[in-house]
Amino acid sequence: MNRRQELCRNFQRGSCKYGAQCRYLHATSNQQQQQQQQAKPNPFGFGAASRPQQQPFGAQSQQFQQQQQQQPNRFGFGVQGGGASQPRNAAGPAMPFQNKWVRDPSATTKQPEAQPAAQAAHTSCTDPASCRQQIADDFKNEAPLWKLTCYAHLRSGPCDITGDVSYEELRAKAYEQGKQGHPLQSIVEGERNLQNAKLAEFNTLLSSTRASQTPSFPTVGSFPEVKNNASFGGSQTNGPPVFTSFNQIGAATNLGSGARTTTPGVPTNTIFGQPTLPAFGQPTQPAFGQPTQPAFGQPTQPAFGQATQPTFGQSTRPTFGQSTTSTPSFAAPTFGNAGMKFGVQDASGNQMPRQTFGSMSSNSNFPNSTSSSNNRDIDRQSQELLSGMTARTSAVEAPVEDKKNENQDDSIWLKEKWTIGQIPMDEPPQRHVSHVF
Amino acid sequence: MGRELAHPPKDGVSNLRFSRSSDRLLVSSWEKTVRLYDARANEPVGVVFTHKGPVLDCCFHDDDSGFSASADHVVRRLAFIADSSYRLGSHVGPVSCVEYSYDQGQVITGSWDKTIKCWDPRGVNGPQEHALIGTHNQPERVYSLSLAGYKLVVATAGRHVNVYDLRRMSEPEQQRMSFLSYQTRCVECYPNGTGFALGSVEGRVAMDFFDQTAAGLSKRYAFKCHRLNEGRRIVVYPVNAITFHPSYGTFATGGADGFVYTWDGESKKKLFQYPKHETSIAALSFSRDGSLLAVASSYTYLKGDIDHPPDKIFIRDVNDLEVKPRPKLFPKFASA
Repeated sequence: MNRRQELCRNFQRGSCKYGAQCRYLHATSNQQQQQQQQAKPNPFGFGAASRPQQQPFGAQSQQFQQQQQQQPNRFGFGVQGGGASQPRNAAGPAMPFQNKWVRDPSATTKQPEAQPAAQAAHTSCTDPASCRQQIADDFKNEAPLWKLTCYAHLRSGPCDITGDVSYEELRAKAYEQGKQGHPLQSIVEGERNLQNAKLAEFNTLLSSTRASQTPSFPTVGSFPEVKNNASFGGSQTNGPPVFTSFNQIGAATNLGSGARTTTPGVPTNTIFGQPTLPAFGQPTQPAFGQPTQPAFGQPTQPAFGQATQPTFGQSTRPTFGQSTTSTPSFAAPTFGNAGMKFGVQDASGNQMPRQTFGSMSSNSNFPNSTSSSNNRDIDRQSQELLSGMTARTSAVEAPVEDKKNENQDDSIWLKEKWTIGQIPMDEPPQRHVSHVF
Repeated sequence: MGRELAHPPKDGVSNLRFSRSSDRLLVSSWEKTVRLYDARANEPVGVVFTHKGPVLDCCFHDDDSGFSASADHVVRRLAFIADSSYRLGSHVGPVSCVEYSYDQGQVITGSWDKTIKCWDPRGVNGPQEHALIGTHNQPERVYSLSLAGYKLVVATAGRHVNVYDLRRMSEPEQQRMSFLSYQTRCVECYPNGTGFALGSVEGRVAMDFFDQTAAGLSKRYAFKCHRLNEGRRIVVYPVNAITFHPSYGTFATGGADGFVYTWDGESKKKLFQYPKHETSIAALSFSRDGSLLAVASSYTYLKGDIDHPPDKIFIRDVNDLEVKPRPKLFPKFASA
């Protein structure tokens, strides 16, 4: 796919007709080539390989059933890896006189009692794989001509990519600038930058959601790859810059004249622009800032940039046990939990963490198979870190009644949520470790 | 294609409206003017109202006056017979839409400063801001407004949709999100006031209803339109304008691909496709009885500043065939 390392000129203008199959590089600028290249491999790979893992999400009944109904189509699409098929809708593109009216999936599959759930089916990212698929589908088939748009993969859900500009706004701005005497060239440049920045955002959303779930990614290689988001990825020494680009999010998402300040680093953050990612984000933050604390950090973090940064900064390791956010359970979960989260998290950033947290505490159906087979390598690292972490945090924690619990070992490991004081001192016995190392 | 309107604006058309009480057409344009035409006679009427900035929207008040929303942040009342304009008030940012509510007697404007404001047009000649009734904050920049009876639908950037009851503007009646995935371009309420249609940049129109009960939610749907096959790709064009036929309830959509289609929302069928216009459709409007359709074929800057075919306005005589709804064949229950 990347035989030529040249930038695609049409893509720069926003109108390359080859799309993903173009032989030139679809990157927004040379500086971003690296990150983009890392994201590029296997644009179609995830479709084929990740399918089997989507089955085990059997936890939610109605929601999942609907997703299942939709899934076969998605798989079908994934296999072809391109082309014009629309899994969500009836058949291919609508020819001029064909009536291709399709109800919105969330509307079609509803039944009276399932309705609230049905709406939720697509409005909550309980199944990250389908979210990913949806995002990929959308981008492949339905990428609109107008690039400076917001995007949400969930129907009626908040936007994944914010900061849209209408063409009237662009035009008004151009007229203004023309009046002020700016040469046409600079106006055009500005618009092009806007467009490129936005395209970068889309690319990052797409690649970040795909990244860790693709087994075809090389094992260790997946680590940096998943972190491909411009500023995040790169090196972990990017800590400080990451924080600063964070602050630019506010400016960046409000386009208009401010848009020009979007740097490559910013777009990635804007995707995650939603502070609802906090829980997950926090513990992992340090990973970025301080390479020595990988802990949860992982690779799956594309999502983590946000607003959670500051809180993180204050709450370093010790606070794992007592998370500053509302998720005490997160900090010291069992390996199974942690692994699952990672596996599940990567997917589509935004909505995911919230949902998984909810689901975690409510049911114990970990899609272990998913995480173990897909994120094996990532998990391995996370497990190691996690074990190290839990040992340490428990040391920091309040007195642990390990003596008392010795005879009830199993129950402690099977618990969903550890309250302060319950956290075991040692590693879980082998039988409770749900991941294969 | 219809007749071309004589003396169209010299720059892009931002919006055009037919009057509710006659066949006059008000056209606002990027050349900073608002022009009034007699559509049947195909000629301009009265003086050209020049503003200080591009005019982004216009609407009629009665046959004698109208309102304009301009990028110079000012909302103006235009008196056609007197050929003069008065300042109603201003926003902090460019005013992107203006609507007049006949039921409430208020002018509602939406702006890129993330607010909508309600004005009393009678307060025009008083001190500044005398006409302002209220300001209401929106989550994002307002892109489009539509009224139906007492319901006001505001569509903003970021896919937010707020539904207000004009009688109780203190807070939105409903705060929803568009159930399309991409940026909203336009919103238009059904003439029967049960819901609204949303057009987005991804070549889709969502038909949504105010009723948020289970029954109402099951009726909503979205359909794809304005997508062209170009070579081996499908190019997805934004839907720029939606307008409803006043009596039939069917509607026409215009997209940046230059096509205008008419649809029957009830039976979910496409009724008619008009021949392709030279450039994108910026605005559409049915006349008060639905016998005329004004189409603004005007480049909307979709691809930046490039050379484009000249902007024109076409007035079509509407054939019943093009807009009459087609009831579903073989209804389940035979009606007596």
